[in-house]
Amino acid sequence: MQVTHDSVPPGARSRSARGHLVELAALALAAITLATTPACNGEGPTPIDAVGLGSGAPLPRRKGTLLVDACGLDTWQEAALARPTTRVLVGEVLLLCMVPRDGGALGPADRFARGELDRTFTNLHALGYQVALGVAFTDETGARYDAERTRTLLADPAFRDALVASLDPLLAKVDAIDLDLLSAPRAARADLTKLVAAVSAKVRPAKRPLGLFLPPSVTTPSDLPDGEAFDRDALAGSVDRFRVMTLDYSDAAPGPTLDPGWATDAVRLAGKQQRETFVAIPLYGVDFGPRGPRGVSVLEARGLAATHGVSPRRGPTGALTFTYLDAGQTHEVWYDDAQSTGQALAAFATALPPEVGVLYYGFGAEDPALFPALAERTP
Amino acid sequence: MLRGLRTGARPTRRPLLAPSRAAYGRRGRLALAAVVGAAALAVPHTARAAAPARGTELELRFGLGFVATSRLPTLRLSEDVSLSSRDLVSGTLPTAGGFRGLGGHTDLTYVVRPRLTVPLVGFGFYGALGDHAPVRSAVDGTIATVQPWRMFAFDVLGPGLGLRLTHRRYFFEAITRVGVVLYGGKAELAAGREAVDADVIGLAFSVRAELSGCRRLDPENRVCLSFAPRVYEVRPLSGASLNVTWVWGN
Repeated sequence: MQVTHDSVPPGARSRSARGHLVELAALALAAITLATTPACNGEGPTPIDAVGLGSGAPLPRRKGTLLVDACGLDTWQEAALARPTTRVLVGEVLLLCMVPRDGGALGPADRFARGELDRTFTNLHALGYQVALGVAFTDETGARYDAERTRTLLADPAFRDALVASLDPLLAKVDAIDLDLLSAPRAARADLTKLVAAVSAKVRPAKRPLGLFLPPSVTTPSDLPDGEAFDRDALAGSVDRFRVMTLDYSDAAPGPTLDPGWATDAVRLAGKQQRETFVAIPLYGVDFGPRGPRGVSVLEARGLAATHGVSPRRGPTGALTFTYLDAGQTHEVWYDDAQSTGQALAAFATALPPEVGVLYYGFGAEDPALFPALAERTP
Repeated sequence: MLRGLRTGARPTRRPLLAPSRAAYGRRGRLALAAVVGAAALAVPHTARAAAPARGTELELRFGLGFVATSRLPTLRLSEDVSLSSRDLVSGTLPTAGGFRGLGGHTDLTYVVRPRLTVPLVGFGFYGALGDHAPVRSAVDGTIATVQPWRMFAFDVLGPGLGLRLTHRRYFFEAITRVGVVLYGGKAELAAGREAVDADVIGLAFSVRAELSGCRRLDPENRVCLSFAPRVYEVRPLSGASLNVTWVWGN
């Protein structure tokens, strides 16, 4: 039966209305409480990839350089370079292999080694890559000079002259020169600037761009112990590009090799002085053991996880990590695969301008799926 | 204390919330007359015959709702965040995926009987309900993970226009209106091996339709079941809500 307006006393209607109001308020409160109770909601199993970070979302095309920490290529590297997917991402191969000897002349200098080096240049050119030759302050065994030795060598004018002179026969064969002086201490600031200026005076007239490996400082003055060895303002005038070494983010304590936010800040700072900058992406992982960190390839990291029966998990940046026990001692391994590297590059997509290049560091240690996966996302 | 909200049919019972006729300007009456006339032309004759008396009133609505959308707006950090890896991160986070929530809403509606409904202002609050997939995102180069299961949606609904058909104890209503939705919640920002919680917010302009079927409980109370598709919110046809609403006013 329809309730008419006049059949209900006004007081009863008000009480009824108040009752409804209270009931519905209680129900709404209960609903909101229920909705926000952890038992009623939570993290779903499959992450959604946001715009720009998804495995299928496009990545901006950037200038790509692949760093080989050797003078030659093994068959794995040759095969990878021959793939069209690698060529989508990489236009230049940087061979970081020339080392100054005590007198300043660059090695390897013996005829056989130089012949092999020439063949590598020819092969790379034949594959369509530009070739950059890197000079690193390491000894012939590959061990990096310590700060004091680097300072002593840089302070010697004869050493600097000999190093510059020994570039002469190489300039015609390569497309660019890069200098890795990261072991220089703060005390070598002036001499480092002189060496770079002298190399610049030799290289740039030959129409060869000069690159410089730069510590990943994020502040001025530098937040790194020897970051002030690099007079950025003076160096920017002598070189054509800064390769910002945004690697080994976690060096003392275990952690990811790259933090994209930190790398963004480091590249932005470098970009204030130099128009052409590169952000470095590690292709290797690190095994943090009781005797210190040790670089490992992605395949080695996966092998360690399989050997010790552990499943890697993803850390906050997307990098993979796991721990294992060896001889009773704990190791913690961190490495990047195609997914986490793609995620980092996607994070740079909006944070860094497209003119910023990418230096893939440690060719041969990467996830075999890396370049095909990135190439698929690069229009 | 508020009493019944009716006016027009029984002038002596005009409630406090209803504006007096004297308060209407001439232009306002003309505009209302034009809208009502247009609405009347759009209503079938049989429905018109079943409509109750003419007049105006204010209705207060209060209810529960479940909302599901397929797309969140672009979020941003509500304030700068300092991380161990960098200072003062700020900016926007691209998002994907949607939001499902349960909550309550309230509304004030002006009714020009028999057929015109003018929603004036409404508010709603919904907490996330059910599992939501984490959304990988980035803010100014820092990897971020948006956590929609820790989000809420706060609706502020503005004016709109609707038509009402009354048949005995029932009325059916179709309304369209605009509003904004404030989404808020949490995202995790990556700083090396740490993940840091940060507050995120996002604002979306919303255009909604609302289709209701209501039953009179007594002269002043009705209960309605409403389906409200989001005609546009971030993108066209992005979601809908289902509401059970109590209407107080006639």
